[in-house]
Amino acid sequence: MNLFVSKTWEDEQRLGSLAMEFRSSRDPGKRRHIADEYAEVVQRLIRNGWNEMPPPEDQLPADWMPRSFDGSWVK
Amino acid sequence: MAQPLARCKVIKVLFFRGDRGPFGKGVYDALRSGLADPRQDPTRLDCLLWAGHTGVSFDLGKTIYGFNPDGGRLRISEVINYLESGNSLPGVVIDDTGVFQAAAARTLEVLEFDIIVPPLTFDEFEQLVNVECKGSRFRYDFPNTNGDCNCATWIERLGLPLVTGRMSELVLVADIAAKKSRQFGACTP
Repeated sequence: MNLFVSKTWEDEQRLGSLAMEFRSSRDPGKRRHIADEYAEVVQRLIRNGWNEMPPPEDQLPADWMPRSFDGSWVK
Repeated sequence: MAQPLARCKVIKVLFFRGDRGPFGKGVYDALRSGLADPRQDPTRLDCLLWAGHTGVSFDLGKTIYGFNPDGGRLRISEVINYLESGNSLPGVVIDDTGVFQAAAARTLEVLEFDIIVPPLTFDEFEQLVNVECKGSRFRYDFPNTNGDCNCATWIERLGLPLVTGRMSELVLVADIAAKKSRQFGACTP
């Protein structure tokens, strides 16, 4: 295990994993659960000084993205 | 007496990560605005410069072919939202040399490595790509949906090896074992 992997990097990878899980499910309940966790990870990234706009493959579709996801953290 | 070996030929793989800073935010804003107002839609080039792209070349990088979604009449913002929703689109192979030139012009690091093969393997793979250019048999998707591949995995689907085979290299591929499953192709779980 790489002890020097940052928490930000781990959370960024988590966004990608959640986006993959979202795409592979058509169950609205499961999608809601994934979107809720996605919102929590976004909040944590912003609190930790995130400065990147993730690519579309690591995002959820527009209607499911958290309201906090407005890109204002990108400087 | 053994026949002398034919000279190796080079298939070059090129890729860049994409500009995830303020430029990327601008493209994201345009995508979201574009869903409501077509005039706000970003260009395909801007989307690729933000998202990153992978391509393959048979002439040492002079011409670079890339696999892309064919959205038909859909706008770029609609294509991206459709893919993010877990859908796939017909794939199309395009001469994307300009995309990589634009990436370099933006000082995005364009990485590359060479796959060195015998002439027969080179010719077979080049022929596969030529056929793909006339009409791809693959559907484009974002990872883990019912499509076949994206720009990076399209190269694998055509059979070009990408990793050297060293276990240390495979282990270093971020999250490769953490993501316990990955779907390629239409099927029911």
